[in-house]
Amino acid sequence: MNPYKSQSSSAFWKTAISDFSMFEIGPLWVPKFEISAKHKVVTFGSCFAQHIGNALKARGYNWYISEPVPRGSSEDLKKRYNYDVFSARSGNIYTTSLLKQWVEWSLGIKDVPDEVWQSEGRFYDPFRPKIEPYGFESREELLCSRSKAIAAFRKCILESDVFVFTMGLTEAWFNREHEYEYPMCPGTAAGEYNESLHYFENQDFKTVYRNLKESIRLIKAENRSVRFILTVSPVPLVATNTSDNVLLATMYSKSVLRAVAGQLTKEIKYVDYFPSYEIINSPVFKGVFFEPNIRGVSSFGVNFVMDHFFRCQELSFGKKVNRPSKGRAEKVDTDVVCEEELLDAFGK
Amino acid sequence: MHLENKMRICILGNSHLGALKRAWDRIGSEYDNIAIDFFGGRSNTLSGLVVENDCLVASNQGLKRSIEFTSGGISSVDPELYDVFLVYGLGFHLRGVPLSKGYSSAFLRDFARERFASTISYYLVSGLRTITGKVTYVGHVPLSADYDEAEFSLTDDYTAVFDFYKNVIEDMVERVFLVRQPEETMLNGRSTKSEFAKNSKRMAVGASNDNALHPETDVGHMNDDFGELWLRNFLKQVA
Repeated sequence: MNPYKSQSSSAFWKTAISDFSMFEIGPLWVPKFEISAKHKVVTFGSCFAQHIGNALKARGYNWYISEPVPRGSSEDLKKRYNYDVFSARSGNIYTTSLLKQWVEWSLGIKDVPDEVWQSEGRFYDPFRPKIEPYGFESREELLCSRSKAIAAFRKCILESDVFVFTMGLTEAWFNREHEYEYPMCPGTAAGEYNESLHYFENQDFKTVYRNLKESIRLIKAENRSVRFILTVSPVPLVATNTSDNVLLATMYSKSVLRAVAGQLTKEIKYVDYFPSYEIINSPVFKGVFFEPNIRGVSSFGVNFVMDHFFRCQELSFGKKVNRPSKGRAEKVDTDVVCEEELLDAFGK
Repeated sequence: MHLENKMRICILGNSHLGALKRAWDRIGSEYDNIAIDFFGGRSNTLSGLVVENDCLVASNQGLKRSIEFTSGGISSVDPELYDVFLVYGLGFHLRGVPLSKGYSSAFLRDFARERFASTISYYLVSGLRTITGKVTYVGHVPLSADYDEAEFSLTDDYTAVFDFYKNVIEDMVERVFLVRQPEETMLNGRSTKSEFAKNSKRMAVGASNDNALHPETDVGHMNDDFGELWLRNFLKQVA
């Protein structure tokens, strides 16, 4: 007798994986808690997180948007101005340190910086450099918008039932003097890079873990009923600032992020992990969910991931989830807002 | 209708045009120097006007009958016959642009452009612009009546919203000017005084319910007294 004898078939590669075609594998996730249509679900994080919000909405879930766009706005207008991308107009939050920064700003724990970048008569938010397609008209307008986004983020903390965070990167850029973080290296999306003002850090496990755990603690302290779902973006890095090949840098980042997600899921009962990363990236799926550049995730891949998400919920909690109407899930807008992709322009 | 020594005005509109037309029937004789032709179609039927041989013509019989009825027999809009144009109502509402809610000015401009571009008002204005460079005025749908229907009231001051749209529209199309709703018809710059919504009537287009009263719950259509104030105000600007 040994412990493996009592393991289920899903614990063994042969009976869980190699005996099946790749599309029959699963379920990969046994959710810790149910998400129902009445739960307010907020989404933040890296580019891939945008798919989660859209998928929730398409299936009739309550994807909570705390910074809504005026009624009657076209989809094109929303997209150009980055509305309905995340639950507040935060822009991409790639790192756990950036998440903590947003949490601390919105809860008044840390002061919000007043740094503003200016170029050709327009003003750009260092913390949301592409949030407006043409920049802001004035410094005042920018600061007002930033305040509004921070207030909206706070609303998400206070009112959400489920907080979904998609971790994207370990590589981060900071202001030397004030120690606050930028989502993008200054001088890439906007602004100007200055070695004396800015520094780079490729965060290790301890740092990523500490920042995420603290973010969760702070949010939970304000909202006792909130639960968390962590995911790791399966999208490789566009570029690395380390001396490693970008493939290695990607593997490092994703490994650290995955390990942190796993550790916190183990430690904290109201934190769960959904394996979108594994579905897209595991060799089992042979890379079929990637676009030809082996970086972008295809609409088929997005749908497969999200179908898996909802199917696992259904299997665990026995409820019928809303199916999108015919044709709605067939085409997913994979043209997500991805500031990180701007780094591609600097490649030789 | 082209009459010498008179300013010739062409007014195109949807159901809101009824109040103006009936007002003109009342006061027209006071304006010796002005001739007005009304081309009306209820709801969104004027979207059926198309450019043909440098005129606006009806693309279907129903619309043709409607504009012939409202104009007194004219079946197409020949810009050569007019000095000035007005498009009135036609889906262009001032409400819905939240100036004071922290949206960026660039977003609000694009939002307002999209809103106007989606209206039949814009469709006609841009259609006219392909066949004439003459000045065209745009009259927005009257502000909803003050019946405490908060969702229909402006959320910002009328002048602020008006000026905002004025800049947007005049930037979109050349020689197009937005016309204000008369001050005396408004309540607190947010809605139309409720007295002007009482006893509003359907525009006569040759249908069986011509000039029938709108339901009492209708807060969007205004009566002939409103039409008169609006028209007098407009004529002061153009004549």
